[in-house]
Amino acid sequence: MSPPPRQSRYPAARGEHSSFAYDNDLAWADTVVRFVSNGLERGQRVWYSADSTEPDAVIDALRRGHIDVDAARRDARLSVTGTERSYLRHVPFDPDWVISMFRAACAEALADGHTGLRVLGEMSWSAREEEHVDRVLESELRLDREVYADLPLTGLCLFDRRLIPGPTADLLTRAHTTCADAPRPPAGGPSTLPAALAAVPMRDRSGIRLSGSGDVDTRPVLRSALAALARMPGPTVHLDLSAVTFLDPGAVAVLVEVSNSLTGKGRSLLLHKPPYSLRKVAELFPEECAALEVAA
Amino acid sequence: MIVTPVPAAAEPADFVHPALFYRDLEEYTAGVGAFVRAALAAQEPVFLAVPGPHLDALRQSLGSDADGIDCVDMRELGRNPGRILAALQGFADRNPGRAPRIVGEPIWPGRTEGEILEATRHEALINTAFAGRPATILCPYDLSGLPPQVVADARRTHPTVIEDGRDTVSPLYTDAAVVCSDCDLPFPEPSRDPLLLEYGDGGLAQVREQAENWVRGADLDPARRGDFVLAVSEAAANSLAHGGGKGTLRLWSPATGVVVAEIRDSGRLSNALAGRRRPSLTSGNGGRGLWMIHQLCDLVEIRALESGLTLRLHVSGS
Repeated sequence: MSPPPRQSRYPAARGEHSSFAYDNDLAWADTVVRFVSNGLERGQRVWYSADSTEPDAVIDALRRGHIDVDAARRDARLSVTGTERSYLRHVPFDPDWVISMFRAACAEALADGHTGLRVLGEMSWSAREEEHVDRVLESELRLDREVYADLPLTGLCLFDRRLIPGPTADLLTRAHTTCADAPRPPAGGPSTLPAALAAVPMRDRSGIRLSGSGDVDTRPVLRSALAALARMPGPTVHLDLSAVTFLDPGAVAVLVEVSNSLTGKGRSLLLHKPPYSLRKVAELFPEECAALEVAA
Repeated sequence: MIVTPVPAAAEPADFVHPALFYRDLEEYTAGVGAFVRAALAAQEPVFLAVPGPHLDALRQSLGSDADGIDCVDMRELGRNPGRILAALQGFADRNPGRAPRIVGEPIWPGRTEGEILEATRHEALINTAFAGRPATILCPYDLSGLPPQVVADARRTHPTVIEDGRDTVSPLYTDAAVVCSDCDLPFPEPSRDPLLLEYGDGGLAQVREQAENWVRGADLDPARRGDFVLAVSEAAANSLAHGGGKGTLRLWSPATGVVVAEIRDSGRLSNALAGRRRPSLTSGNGGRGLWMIHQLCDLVEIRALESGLTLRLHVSGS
């Protein structure tokens, strides 16, 4: 008797936004089938946005997983489309447009009598959007509060590690509040060490939580994350630094720049629990760092 | 009473940098006091950067004349001699169009050999930093308390000397670059086995992690440990950006409550004044990192050789 398949954790709650990174087709099919079945069982409309996989291949995989694909498609409970009909309907990639699109699609599913919307999105197109990777990160960070927080939308972003460069995949998967499968130890090949700096959205307010350290090696991630933060709504955006071990003066300079830019627009950046290094840099550069506001 | 000549006031675009040799406190207060009174009479800005006990003696001697003069205890400012020049230049910068008169006493009896070498380098670099700037920096030297070699070096780092009431040109005055390279003496090997780490591009987080784990075992408070890690990170970042893209870090503790990090790379110190002037937070040519390192450490020893650059960063309890 073969052992029972390992139970992967995948999102079931309303408003869950998860990521799944994989490097083989079996893992992909396993997770996709269970995620789709679960949505159909719950009366949700399921939308698969395919990118590197042909839509027909997705449908075949679902059939092999004993899902009655034809019935589900006939009743508009399931659709499989290409990225050009979802994320990349507007190019260059535009997070504001994606947020509106998901909100509208979810409202439509509810209006059609479904209990909610479940989206599976292949993210391999992000590898083609290298120039706009900060906007992709922005989208991942903003969707949480601007879509998932108040709508019965369940999302699973699919990251094919064979197609998306390691650092981009790490940065984007770690921007999700939950991960559909426990990360496995690297099976040789390219390193899958976690990014040295990562950002996740804050759930209770407009803001992000950074973890890791900020130096010249992680400067691009910091810039991307703060660009996303600056585009989050509200008069004050929050930056939780409690899981940041170190910020070098260049990283502090980026925070000062973003803070000044927000202040210029009548908004503000509020820092939470900065590391010692930020406080020391602020002590050494008091005039420039006077712009930084730290929550009491 | 000993009468000490006051060095001639700087003409516009003249920099005056005399060493004042004194034997006792009476000679000290007479000589330095006359310098300060002349500066006040000329209504030029005055800055006293001398050890605390000397500040007290000067205040007493000057009486109400000392009121309102900018003063700093050199044992604090100059604990790391590499910090002093930025403070002196900062004072001159805050007084544009004036001819500031500064008393700077970076070497006093009891300083270690390592500190004296860096203070001598600082004295030489004053000439480079202030060349063409209308300012006077008077540097008192204790003839009875300092080793003869220190006095001999003062004759090399100062264009003029005031001695026994005479202000004369120093025939031994030597170009700053030569003095600095004479200060690049081989380092003694660490007193105990250091922790060694080679680093390269992308390795800054690992450098910090190693330094942080190691320094946790030292008898230092958390703030000084944080300062140490910040200084090491900046030094390693300079290696990667300007020092050939890789380097070697060695960590050891020569005594309880003292930690040393040595950063060695193949870089050249192209500007001897790097890190000796307050940078802005956004300046990124290596000067920001070096200036920060000077502020964070109790002593920064520099060896700028053809074969590469080595820094030894000393941090002790606050």
